[in-house]
Amino acid sequence: MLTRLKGARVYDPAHQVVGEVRDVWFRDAHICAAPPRPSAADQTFELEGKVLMAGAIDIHSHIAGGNVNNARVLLPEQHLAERARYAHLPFAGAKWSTYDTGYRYAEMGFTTVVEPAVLPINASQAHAELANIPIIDKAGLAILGNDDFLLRMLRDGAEQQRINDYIAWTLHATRCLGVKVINAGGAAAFKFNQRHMSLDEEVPMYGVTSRRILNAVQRAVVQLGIAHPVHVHCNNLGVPGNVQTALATIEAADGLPMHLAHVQFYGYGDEGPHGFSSGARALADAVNTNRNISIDVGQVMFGQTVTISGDVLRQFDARRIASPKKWVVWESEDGGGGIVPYRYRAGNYVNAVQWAIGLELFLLVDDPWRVFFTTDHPNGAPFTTYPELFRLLMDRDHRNRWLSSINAEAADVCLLRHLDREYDLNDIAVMTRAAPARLLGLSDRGHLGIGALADIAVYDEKDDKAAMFAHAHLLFKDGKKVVHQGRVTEPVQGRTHAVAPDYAPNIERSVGDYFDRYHFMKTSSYKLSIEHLAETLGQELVLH
Amino acid sequence: MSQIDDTTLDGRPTGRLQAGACPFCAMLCDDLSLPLHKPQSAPSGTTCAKATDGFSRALQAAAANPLINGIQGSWPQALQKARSLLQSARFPLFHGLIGDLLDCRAALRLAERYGGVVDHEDGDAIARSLAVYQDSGWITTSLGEVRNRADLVVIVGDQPDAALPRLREKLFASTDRLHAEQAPRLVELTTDPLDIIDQVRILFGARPLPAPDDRAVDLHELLLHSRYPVFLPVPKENPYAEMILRSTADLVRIINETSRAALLMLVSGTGGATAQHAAAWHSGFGIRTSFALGFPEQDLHRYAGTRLLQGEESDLLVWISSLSDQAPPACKQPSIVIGHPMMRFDDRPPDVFLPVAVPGVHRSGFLHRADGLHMLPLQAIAESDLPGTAELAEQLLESTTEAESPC
Repeated sequence: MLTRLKGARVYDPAHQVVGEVRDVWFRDAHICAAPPRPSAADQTFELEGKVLMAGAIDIHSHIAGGNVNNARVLLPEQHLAERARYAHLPFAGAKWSTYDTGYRYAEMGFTTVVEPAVLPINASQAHAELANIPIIDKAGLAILGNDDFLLRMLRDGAEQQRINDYIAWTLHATRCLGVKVINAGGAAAFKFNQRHMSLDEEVPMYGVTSRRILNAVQRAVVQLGIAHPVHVHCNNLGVPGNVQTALATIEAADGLPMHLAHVQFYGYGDEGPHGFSSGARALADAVNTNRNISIDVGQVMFGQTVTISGDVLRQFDARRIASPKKWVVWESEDGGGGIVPYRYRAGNYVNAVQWAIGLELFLLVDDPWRVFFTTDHPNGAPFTTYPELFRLLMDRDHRNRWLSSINAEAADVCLLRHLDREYDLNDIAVMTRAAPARLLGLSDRGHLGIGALADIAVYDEKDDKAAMFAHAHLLFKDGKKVVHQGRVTEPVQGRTHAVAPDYAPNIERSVGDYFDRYHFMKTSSYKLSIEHLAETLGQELVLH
Repeated sequence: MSQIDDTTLDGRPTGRLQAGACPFCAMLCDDLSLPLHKPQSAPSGTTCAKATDGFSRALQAAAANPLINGIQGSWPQALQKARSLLQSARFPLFHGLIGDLLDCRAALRLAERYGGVVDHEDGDAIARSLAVYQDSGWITTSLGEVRNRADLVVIVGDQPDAALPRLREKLFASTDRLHAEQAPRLVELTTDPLDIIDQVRILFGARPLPAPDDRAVDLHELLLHSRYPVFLPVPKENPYAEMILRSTADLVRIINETSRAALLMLVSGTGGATAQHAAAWHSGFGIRTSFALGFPEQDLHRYAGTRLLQGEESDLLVWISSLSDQAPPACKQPSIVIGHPMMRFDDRPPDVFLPVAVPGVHRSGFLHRADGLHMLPLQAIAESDLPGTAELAEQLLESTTEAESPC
């Protein structure tokens, strides 16, 4: 099937196409060159006045796994259903289900989403949930850095090659696309009743610092040739003054690639009468200077949400601010985590400063290829708030109206009121398409070059950018029309992506012996096989 | 797939078949093997009756035929009858769910399509935990953490052994522990558990308690000197089960203000954790959720399977039980049983019996262990022509009335 998308304004930053009116052609699942005769098209979509981009990519959104699923169950009152959104699509009335996750991302023009916190011992459930998310392609990042096996190796002075082997084996076992480090050593320290962890603090019993853990994992990712840099959740998240931790972490990266996740949550100074201020300027300057660093923001948007994290230290500490007053902390063989519901209020000084810091970071980092749209769904806000976030960044007047309605003291002290920058459609296309594909090493998407996947979003051009991006006019996934006029038409099944770097086979014996001694299972009950996933979950796994 | 430990001699298989994870209780032990020459006999590496019975009975039944009103029928006839019952049902109940993830996913799709309710055989215990969890949350730990770190385990309520035969062996008998020199000390609060836990809470709060029970004083003392005490609530048969769990969860929160402690929450019913988790990501809620209105609605009391059957609010029972050959509870309603091929019906047979493959024996699958943290892959270890529940569900979801075969 040869399809012609005719006459839209096209944004394809990977090929320096900035708002040109042109045709895009695809045959079946892939973008192709225009044929000599346009009449060769089997179908043509007349798209004059529309905006066309590749399908959007979200690099950090908690959409699957035990922590997410337990949060659903903890807060039934937050997602009571009242209607079936789609009469004929599976589970379309289930508001916070895997199915609704796929439908809502597709409605906004997204075609690939990364779950950034797959606990290895819980990886099979994460994959089962990902397999039940329709339409979009998915991937997970495996959490390392609080697992006893790795900490023991570091304590015992293992060679970097051995650490590389273990991390490569873990990626095979969990079928993930990259590696996540969450408050390195923090969850392990919590198990010894330590309630804080900074970059140079040692994990009890192991005598290794958070910095050492982070450094070892980062080097492993680089040396194994994994495209996505180590994805880091820093120490001291949420603590006033923690911008110093973020700056120290950037320095600790030592020029090697590192991605800092949801940096808004560690963009905090400790100045002013409330001991809480914006550290965005210093953090943005460091990001601008250190070109090995990429960030996503983790923007806060006002409203009720729930925080879900593998940072058990932070979540335990946050129990006091749970709203409503219920919270969960859990521990496992290779980490831990917690669930704390929270409502961000525009009238609250701290929440308003958090909101401003996120926007400041977006506007102060000058390279759109290294800063990514996230709300750290659902920690800062649900991913469904992205269109409103785009509008805040693209429309200074809209932003200023918000500034006049948030906590006045926060509005006064924050830098945001002095920032005039407005994003344009090309910035959005870079940050949600071209750059995330590059950051994840997924070269077949995020652009409209010949041979790329026909994952294509088309929007009605509107002045109100929130309305424009809330509902794609059309979305094609692998060349199939899956959304029309903002409504899902076809719940196709996407794929899951992973890497499989080489490792020395003898690591398998060491991990196997360890499992036999300390775990409740053998590695054969832990390591996920591609064939078994396909046979049981119907999940197609693509290795990169 | 299955692995063969030993080679065969003289063309006669004498080796052992690695059984993969045993799916017949929520421990999911994966250290068993079966004699290759006669896999129906007992697995080695254990004296666990659940494993022995489970494997031997499943392996005796590589094939079975569907029954219509207790009489053998063809697959097309049986599926047609089942489809017709589903289509005419006003409010079907999809119950049992004594199976794996694939069984649960099938049940959820059927429940959504036909506007029914999903519940699990062990739904009372799961719902009790959910009620406490949804009110206050909790602090929990995992099986591995208990073995590797706990220095005190307090069993609160009943004995866990009937449901989880090898739990004690796995927690206490191992000599290898990561961060504990010896097995945790064990305290079993089987009488007056609510009183004792409540009194310990009061003692931790340094509030006046005129005449504390000696057991409460002793436990308080023990807890004060423990690095990582873990409470295992097993309040299945206790009328105050929910209060016991609430109180214990609260005690754990209190201890954590200064030290460490956790609950070990085990879903002991076979397939219970998987049913709850899978139902949660499909519906947003979990078991005891109705799809009758076209969207999911959970009510832990109103949508209890037993109540819906006894009160005759449901007009069709669909009992799904691939892992147990126990017949479903008697009911007045018509019923479809999607079940273990060795299931027998002494009294009133179901309107339709559709025998299915046993996960972990006849087909591959996934099943959560009791703490819900890890979902273990199940392997097929025997050839079988039996269809899986998922394949049957595909056919039951189709609106066509043409005859077809599931295999």
